[in-house]
Amino acid sequence: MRTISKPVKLTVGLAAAALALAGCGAGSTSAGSGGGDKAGAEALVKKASGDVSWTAPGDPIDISKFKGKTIWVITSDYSVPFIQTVVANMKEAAQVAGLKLQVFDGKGVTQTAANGIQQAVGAHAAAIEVLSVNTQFVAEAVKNANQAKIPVIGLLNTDPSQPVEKGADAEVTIDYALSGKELVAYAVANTEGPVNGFFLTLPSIATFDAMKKGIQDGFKEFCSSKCKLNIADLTEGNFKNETQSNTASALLRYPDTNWVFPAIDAMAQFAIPSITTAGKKGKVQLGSINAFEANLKFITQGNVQAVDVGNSNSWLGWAAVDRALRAMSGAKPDVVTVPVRLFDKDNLQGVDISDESQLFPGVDFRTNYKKLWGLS
Amino acid sequence: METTNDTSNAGQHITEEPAPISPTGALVTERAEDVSGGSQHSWIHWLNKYALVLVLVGLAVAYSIALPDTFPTIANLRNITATQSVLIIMSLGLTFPLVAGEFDFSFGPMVAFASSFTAVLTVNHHVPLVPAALIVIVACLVIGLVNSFFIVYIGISSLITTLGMGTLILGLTLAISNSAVIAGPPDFLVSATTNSFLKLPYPVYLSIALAAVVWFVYSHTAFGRYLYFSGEGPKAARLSGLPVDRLKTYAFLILALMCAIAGIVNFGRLGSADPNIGTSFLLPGTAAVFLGATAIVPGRFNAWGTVLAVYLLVTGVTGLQLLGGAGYLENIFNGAALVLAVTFAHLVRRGRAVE
Repeated sequence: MRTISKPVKLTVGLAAAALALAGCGAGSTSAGSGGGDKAGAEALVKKASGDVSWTAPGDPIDISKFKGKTIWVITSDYSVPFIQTVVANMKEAAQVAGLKLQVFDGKGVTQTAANGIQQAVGAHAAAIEVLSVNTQFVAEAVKNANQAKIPVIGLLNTDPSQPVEKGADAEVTIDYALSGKELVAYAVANTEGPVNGFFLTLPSIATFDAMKKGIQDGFKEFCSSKCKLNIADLTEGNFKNETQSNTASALLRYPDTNWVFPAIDAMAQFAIPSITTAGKKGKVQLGSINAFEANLKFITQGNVQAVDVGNSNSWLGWAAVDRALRAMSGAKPDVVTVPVRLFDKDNLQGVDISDESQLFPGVDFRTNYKKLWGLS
Repeated sequence: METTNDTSNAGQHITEEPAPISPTGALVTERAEDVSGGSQHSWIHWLNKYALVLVLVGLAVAYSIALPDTFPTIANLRNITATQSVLIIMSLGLTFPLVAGEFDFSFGPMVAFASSFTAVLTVNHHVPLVPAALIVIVACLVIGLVNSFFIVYIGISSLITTLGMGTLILGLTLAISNSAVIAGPPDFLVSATTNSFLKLPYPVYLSIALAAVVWFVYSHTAFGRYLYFSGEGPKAARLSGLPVDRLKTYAFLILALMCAIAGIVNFGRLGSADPNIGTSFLLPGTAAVFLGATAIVPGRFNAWGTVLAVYLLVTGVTGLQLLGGAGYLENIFNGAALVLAVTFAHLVRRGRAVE
């Protein structure tokens, strides 16, 4: 009788281990409470879909002493369109303030971003802004900047509910938790019966923890106890494939799902075909955050996506420069937010979705910042 | 094909199928073993050939028992097949350079390029779909020609060349799309890629039809046999008078054509074109062709093995997801399946060699 060879045993063992490991993770399920608060959801949606308003980030400051100085911005990946928009507006704001802006592209690699911070320290930058690069991932480089007494400002790295990152002097971001809550409010306000949601998230990104909490809070606050929420944790490096397959599987596993919430617009475009292929178009709606042009187009075309929550990236660019100036002036660490707005087919009607000034009308943030800087 | 004019001797060599080649490049003396082996060898040979089929059937049965309400359903069949059409088309294309003895890392970015270029032409510049598709196909063929120029005529390693070209194509894609996701494909493209026949979307049938064509080319045409022969023994093929360089060029061109088709289909199916999607195809595409090379014609890159591998991987992942697994298991399953399948094939071959 032949015995199984060692290599074959090892192979089988590895297979079993891989499958066991694969079976470890599972999405969690939670629900709403009581009878729900549809009126509250409708009120939040009404407020969120209206025009955003201006809140001054602080007192006016004297920026004359900073004229000619250079701010560095280290981007996670400059090829990403919204990052280009933020940086373009940082350049515009810096020019108005009499500053120079040096851009360093991290090209999606943390080590490269760390090298950028080191270069900025070597070049005696007046301030360093890290855009979508958490300071904990570039801790040593940030430590060097701290030792050189160069202010470090995180951009879109935290939620307002979270503390300023270690080594950072300030944060400029959006309210991720509120964004998540507004998506749920919209779903509750626009659904007959319970909302059965499926949330796809990237747990490796800290701000999405806040968004997840916002979604869970939204369910608890607005949704009845009949509502259900299932959550899938995806991996950052493979989220495009995983979004498609997980959405398709979730629609089979939880057939009463009527809302899908991909954490970001870049995931939404891969969830939509899975919903369509499953024959659920018209039965399942989708909401995500960012308000990218492509996703707003899905809304106007009635292509599964019904709602999007996003911010003005131009405003974010100006807010980033304002915060750098304040940090250079010795302001205490703080988290500053740029407001978000909820978009659906109603408030997008007749709007040129490629024009940010039409998406966020009513606030002349450029003039307001100039006033704070004593320039007008 | 003009190759039959090149030599009369070559025809004699290639009328018999050449010995298969392993994914690592080692020749496998399959035919000699078939002749000398007894019934045990035949059984092992059969098992080696259809192990992947058995695993797929086993998985399907196991999942159907565990998930009687969700797995053995038409909806799940549609889910499993519909999401993989694009991957199958590009993977079938990838087999051509591999059969010819070369590799290509630029196939993922090329699909993304085709998708974004179609979007730019049809959405941003309002070019009608048919001329836009033709322009995209020609552009991809030019990329294929550039690849083959450096690899075949200059003699640069295909790994290095296509790695560089993949990066170049990504840059080009970001430039033409302004790094943006472009939504809103023409209605006809949406209908052609999302409408169904017998509950399955059209691209499923397209991918299977293309697999049949690729199978026919490899198994029943002189070109297919020349290509295997050129890949397995380029020196011998040259001595036999085969136009090896031209065959390799054709292989890169066919891959480029398949990438163009995959990209156009992907734009319609997704409803948007993401310029950065290319990298997400690299592992699944590579896993599919290498895993496929362990089945049907073991040791050889082949059409039906590739299709089988794609469906095996997606079936495994889908079942685990339906059982409640986490998102990362797609990586775990794909990676583990590839390594284990190739290991299994290697062990079976080594066992036969020892006997």
